[in-house]
Amino acid sequence: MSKIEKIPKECEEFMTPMERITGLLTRKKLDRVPCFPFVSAAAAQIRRLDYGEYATKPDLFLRCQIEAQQLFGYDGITAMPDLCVEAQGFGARIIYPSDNAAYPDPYNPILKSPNDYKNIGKLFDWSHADRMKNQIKVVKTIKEELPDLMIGGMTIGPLGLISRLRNINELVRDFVHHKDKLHEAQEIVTDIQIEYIEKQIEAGARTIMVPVVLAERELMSKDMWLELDMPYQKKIANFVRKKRAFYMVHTCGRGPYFDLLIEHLRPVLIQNAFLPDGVKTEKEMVEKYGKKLIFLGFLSVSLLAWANPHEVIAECKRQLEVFGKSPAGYILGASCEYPPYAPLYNALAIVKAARTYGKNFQTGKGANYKEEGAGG
Amino acid sequence: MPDKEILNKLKQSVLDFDEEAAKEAAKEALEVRIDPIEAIKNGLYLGLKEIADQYEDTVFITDMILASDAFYAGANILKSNIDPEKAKANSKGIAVLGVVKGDVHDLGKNMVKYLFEAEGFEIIDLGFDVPAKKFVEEAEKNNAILILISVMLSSMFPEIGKIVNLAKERNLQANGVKIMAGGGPVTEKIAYQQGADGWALTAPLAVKKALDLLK
Repeated sequence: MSKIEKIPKECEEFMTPMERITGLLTRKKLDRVPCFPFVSAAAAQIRRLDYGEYATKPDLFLRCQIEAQQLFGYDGITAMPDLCVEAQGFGARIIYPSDNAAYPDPYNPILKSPNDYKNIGKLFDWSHADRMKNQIKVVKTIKEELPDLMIGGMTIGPLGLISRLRNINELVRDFVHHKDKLHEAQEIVTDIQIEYIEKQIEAGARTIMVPVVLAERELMSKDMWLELDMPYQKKIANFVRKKRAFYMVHTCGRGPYFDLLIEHLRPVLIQNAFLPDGVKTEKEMVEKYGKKLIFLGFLSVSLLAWANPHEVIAECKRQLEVFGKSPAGYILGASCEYPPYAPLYNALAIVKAARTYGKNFQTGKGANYKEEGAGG
Repeated sequence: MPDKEILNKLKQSVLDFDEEAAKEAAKEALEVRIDPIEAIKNGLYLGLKEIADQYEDTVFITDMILASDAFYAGANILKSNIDPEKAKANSKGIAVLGVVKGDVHDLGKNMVKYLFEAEGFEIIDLGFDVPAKKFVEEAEKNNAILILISVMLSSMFPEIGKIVNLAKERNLQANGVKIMAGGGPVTEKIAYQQGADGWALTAPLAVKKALDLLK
C-alpha cells in the first residue's frame, strides 16, 4: 500500500458543509471536494459508549453524532445508528451487542411463514415504533443545532426491511415460491416507509439514502430485481423527488446493476462498494456512468478499519485522481458505513485528504437524466 | 428405463430446481438398482455443478439455493440407501464449517455447505455466532481435514486469526488440516494475513480451492 511522505498544506475553507454539498448538486466551484466518511455507529467512540448503549439511547446517539461532526468537519450526517430501526417498529426483537451493530434475533423471526406476509401491516404501529420516532427526533435536533450541515434521512427499503423480519434463507426461497405473498407485503411496507421518509424530510432531512442491495449480480438476476424489488424502490424514489429531497442509493455487493438503477430509479448519487456489473476498472466506471450521476466513495471499509491514516490519505489522493473529474460530480468518502469499531483517526484522515488534495474543486455537471432517453 | 436416462433425469431435476422431479428420479434410480452413490455423483451432482459453474454469470444466489433444494430432495432419498461403510469410503473427508462469533449472516455459509456436501465432503455445520474454540474442538473431535470459516462483518476478521492460532496450538495445521476463510468483505490478503491456508471469492470457487489444497 502506498504512503505519502510529506503531506501538503490544507486549504482554507470558505464554504459551509451545506453550501459545499448543494454547490456540488447545483454545479458550483467549491473550496474543496465534499467528503462523507459515513460515520454512524462509530461516533459512539466519541463518548466511549458501547454500541448497545449508543443504539438504545437516542440522546447520547445525538450528542455523539453532533460532536463527531464538529470535531472532524465532514460534510454530512446520515443519522441512523444501525439497520434495525424500522424492524423494531414491526415488533422484531433487536439484539444490541456491546461491540457491534444491532441485529434482529435470528432465532425468532417475526415472519415465520409466507402466510404471515399478508398480516405485515398489522405488526406495525407508530405507537411502539420508538426507534423510528427517535430517528425523526434526531434529524430534527441536528437540523436545529447544525443548520449549516447536510443531514440525510434513510430507509432500508421494502425488501431490506422484510429481510430483517424473516429468515434470509427462507426469504430467498420466497422470491421464487411465494412471489404473490411477497408483493402483497411489499405494497404495505412501502407505504409505511414512505410515511417514515416524509416525516424525516419534514424534520429537516435534505437527502434520503436507500440501500438497493438486491440490484446486484451477486444476489439476483436483472429480471428478478425488476419484478421483485424495482417497482417499490421506484415508488420511494418518486416520492423523495416529489418532496424535493435528493434521492440517493447505496449498494454494497458485487456487480451492482448501475444500468437498471439509472434507468428506473434515477438517483442523484450512488455509493457503491464494488464495481458495477459489466465494468472492470474504476476508470471504466467513470467513463460509463460518470455522466449520469454523482459518485460517493470508493474507500473500502477494510481500509478504514485496518489501515493507518497515511495509507488512508494516500488512497484518498489516488481516488481523487480517478473520480475527481467524474463528469456529474464526486464526494470523497466511505463505500459503506464507517465500520463501528474502526479508529476514528481514519475519518479525520479523509477530511484531511479532502482539504489537502481536493482544494478548489471543480464540481461536475450534476446528475443528468435528460440525455439518452433516461427521463427528465 | 436405461440407467443413463434416469441419471439424466436426476441432473435435469436440479437444473430445473424441481424437488418433486428429483424425488421421483431418485426413487426410479433405486427401483432399477442404480448404485445410490453413482446416482448422486453422475446425476444430481452434475446438475448442481453445472449451476455452480455459472454462478454470477447467468446464475445467482436464488438459483443456487433452489438447485440445492432439488439436490437434497433427491439425495436424501438416495442417501438412506447407501451402506455406511461405502459412504465412508467414498467421502472426501470431514469439514467443519461455521460463521464466526459475533456474526449471524449465514446465507453464504449455507451455500458453502450445499456445494461441499454435493462434492462429497461430510460437513459438520456449527451454525453462526460460533466461538473460535468451538471450530477447533469440533475439528479435532471429528478428525476434520478442513476448517471453513465464514465472515460477513469486517469487524470480525480477527476471529479468523484466533481460530488459526488455536488450531496451531493443537498442531492441527501441522497434521494436515487446512483452514479456509471467505465471505463478503474478506479479501485474499486479509485471509492470508490472518493465517488461513486458503481463500475464495465465492462458494463454488471455495470448493475448487479446497480440492487444490487437499491434493
